[in-house]
Amino acid sequence: MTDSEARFAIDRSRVISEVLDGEAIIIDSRTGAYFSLDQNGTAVWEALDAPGADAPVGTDVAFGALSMAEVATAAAVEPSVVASVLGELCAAELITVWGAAPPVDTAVSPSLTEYRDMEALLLLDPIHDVDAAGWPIARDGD
Amino acid sequence: MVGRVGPRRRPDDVRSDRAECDPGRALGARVMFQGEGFVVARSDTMKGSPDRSAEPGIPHVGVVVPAHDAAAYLAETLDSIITQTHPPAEVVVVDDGSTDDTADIARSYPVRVLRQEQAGPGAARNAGVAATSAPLVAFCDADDVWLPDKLERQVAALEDPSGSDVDAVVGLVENFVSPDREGTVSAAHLDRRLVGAIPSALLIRRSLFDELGPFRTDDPMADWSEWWVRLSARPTPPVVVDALLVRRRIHGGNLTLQAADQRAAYLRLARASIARRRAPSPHGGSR
Repeated sequence: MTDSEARFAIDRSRVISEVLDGEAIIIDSRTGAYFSLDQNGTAVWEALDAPGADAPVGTDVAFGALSMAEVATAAAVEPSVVASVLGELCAAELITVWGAAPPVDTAVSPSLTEYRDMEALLLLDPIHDVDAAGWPIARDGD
Repeated sequence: MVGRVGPRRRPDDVRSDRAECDPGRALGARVMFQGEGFVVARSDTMKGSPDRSAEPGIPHVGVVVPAHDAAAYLAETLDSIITQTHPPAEVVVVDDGSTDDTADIARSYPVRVLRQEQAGPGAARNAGVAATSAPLVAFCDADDVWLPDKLERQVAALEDPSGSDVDAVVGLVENFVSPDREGTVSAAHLDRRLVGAIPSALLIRRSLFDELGPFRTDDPMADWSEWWVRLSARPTPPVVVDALLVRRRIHGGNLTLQAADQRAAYLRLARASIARRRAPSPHGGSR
């Protein structure tokens, strides 16, 4: 069963990404892992990464979060494949879900591949929080 | 003596206070590569006599310090190097086109000073390595600080009879806010000791450095990270000494921490690493 009301958004607090030569490359700055997505997965990722729609009124859903149907339409990918990709992305904690995360469909080829050979390198620098001035400037509560 | 903690283990195993990254977490349908593990050397077996560098058979260490406009911090860095319990046999400061008093400060220490037009830290490290001859090479950025027994522990790890295939050693690193910048930069991210994937944490046999080749000089954002990936991709990974060896100074303008360019560099590096894995190996199949 999937939650048709569930909405999904990239967790930009921990992820940096870029689509290079038609393949999404994603770095998780909190774990030092990085990922690649296959063609369908990249289409899903680009749909999630596009400027988003307004969040449903009266909810805590983030601006730009999309439903599974919206992702499938934007990505032009079979809904069952979209569901499985979203399940993989949720399991890897690369996206945030409001509602129930869809299960990974074992009948669908995996889209997401994880690599850890740069873990030590990536964990040393808070690359997500660093701005043009270098190390993050102090904020209230630091 | 240096011991190994069981079989090769991931760096996760040497620390409990770092970010969680359970390799088995939620693998689901994902494919995972874990080939580049680390070997962990216990630190509690590495303490030896205060100064062993003059003993016969103890390898000499050459230290390379690339420095660009580093006058504010260089003295503390050099103090931490020359007072090591295993003193280095040679120290070379490569002044990379500084316009401040970096060279004068360096000359006030018993070190060799080279000057070059500004060419970036990679070029400076390459020049420094070429100017030294010791069989072991260490690097220290001109704003970082070594713990007093940094070299002693790392040399011990290289000498460990059970570690005959050890030819590169790192230790744990923690970041600290430079006292002159307290309150101006975030104290977040400072509470963790991490595997030292930075130049200042490395001790490497010269033979391996020669095998790996020099640092790139065409991209100051990738000179170190690209070289580190080359080092980490070897069948014999670096040993991690299970002890804090380096304090990395955070002063707000650290070159390697500058933002969007660095993020883009890491993404390019990740892409290149994936492409390298997919390339056919000389023995057939992909790597």
